[in-house]
Amino acid sequence: MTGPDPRTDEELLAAHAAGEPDAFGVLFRRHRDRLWAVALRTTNDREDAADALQEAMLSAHRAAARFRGEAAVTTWLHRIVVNACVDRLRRRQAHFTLPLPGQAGAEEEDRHGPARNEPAAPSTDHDTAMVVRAALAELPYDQRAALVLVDLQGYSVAEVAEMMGVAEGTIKSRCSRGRARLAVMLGHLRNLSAPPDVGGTRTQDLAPRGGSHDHSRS
Amino acid sequence: MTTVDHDLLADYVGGALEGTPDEARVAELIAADPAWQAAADELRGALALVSADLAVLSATPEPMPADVAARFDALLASSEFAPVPAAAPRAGVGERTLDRSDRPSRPGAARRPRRRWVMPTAVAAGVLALAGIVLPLGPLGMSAQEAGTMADAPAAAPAAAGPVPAYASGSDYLRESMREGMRAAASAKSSPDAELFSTPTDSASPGDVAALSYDLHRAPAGLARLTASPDALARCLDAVRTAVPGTVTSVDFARFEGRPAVVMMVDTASGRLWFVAGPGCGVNGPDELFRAPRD
Repeated sequence: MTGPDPRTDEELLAAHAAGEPDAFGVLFRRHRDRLWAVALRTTNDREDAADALQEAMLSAHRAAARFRGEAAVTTWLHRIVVNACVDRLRRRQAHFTLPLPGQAGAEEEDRHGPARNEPAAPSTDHDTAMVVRAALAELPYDQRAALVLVDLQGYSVAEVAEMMGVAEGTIKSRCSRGRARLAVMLGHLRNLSAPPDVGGTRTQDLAPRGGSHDHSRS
Repeated sequence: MTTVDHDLLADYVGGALEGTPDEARVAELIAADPAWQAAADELRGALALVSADLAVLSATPEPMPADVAARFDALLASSEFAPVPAAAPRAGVGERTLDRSDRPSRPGAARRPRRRWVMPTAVAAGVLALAGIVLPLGPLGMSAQEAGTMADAPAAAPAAAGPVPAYASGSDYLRESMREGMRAAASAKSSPDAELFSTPTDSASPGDVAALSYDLHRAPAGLARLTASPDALARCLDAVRTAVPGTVTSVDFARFEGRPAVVMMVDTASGRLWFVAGPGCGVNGPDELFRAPRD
């Protein structure tokens, strides 16, 4: 039985690009759980996660020769995976946006009332994780993807902005609004009455300082 | 007291307004308006709890399930993941999917069909780019070297009269940047995305009726009519050529100022142009959104 391959990610990717048959597989297996977590938490669907990850790995496999090392291999892989996930979700166009506190209409209140306004009161970390994961799944996918990368995977705002091809301010905005929505859904923030988010389908990204030009939800 | 704009407040608290005029405006509102002040206090307190919750989720392992891992193992062992993939397209690349035949069906869960973009071609030759797709649209022949000049463009097709390289870069083109002859920096950072093509399965000879199957993962859904049908795209390019006499040298199913758009480069007698068409291109004219000199 052989131990783990001692080579670095960069060395494995270079070996793959040079034609070594198993190098890409070693690299993938080394990171597959993290990549799977990103895909699953971003898509919130097992099949979508598997499909997106497959697309991403095919893409990475083919693009490896052009990897220039500007970022870590893991960052590069995460970028490909999260973009594959977002593309998949975007194509489906089935997301909806939960309003921020103070923006819920009556229909939304009915649908989300208990979860939004009562503390979830999880009894264990496992329960907490399940509740948070479910709430995360209710966010618009671009907010969810940003939070998955920043708050769950630990990437910096700048790195995520780079990964997703938008301005840093846009990522900050997505994270901020996503967290605020989570606060309501998790019962940490009361819901205030105010005009509903019309249609419940859109919020605009903030585009400070030159803007992100991100119209992904259009 | 004014109505609290919770989006704006969330942006402020999250630091998304730093350096913008709104930062000072919201700060003043929080300082002067009790409603804003209370909302800000509540939000800050709640966000601390959210961070703690997210930290719990972050620390929770999410291993790939064994059955999914097994399928990936099989996929990685397949010819699809053979090394040196860029050397030449292989038949079938991009068509393979994870074999789900052994996947236990979930009660009550209908299996979604695989989405696959199939392009029956009834015209001319199909010269296949390494990573991009070359549409066999003979009358709109290209000077292929132009394709390679676009940032993020996949490898250019071999120079040949006839086909037009088409791809979906995932870019969002900006009016001002195109005027300046460059693509938006934000969009230009998505280079791996151009690789999200699957390689076509075959190269057709002139006159063949070939079936080229590929994925255009990054093509906006609003352009499905054009990406799904070479006839529709041919009508679009005809309309473009009528509007701008010349030769279309590349086609990017992308976005323009956030809207789904077909971004083309056209060689004309007076020079090269960007020509941006909307989703209605070819229906009743080119559905022109924008044009600008390329050089």
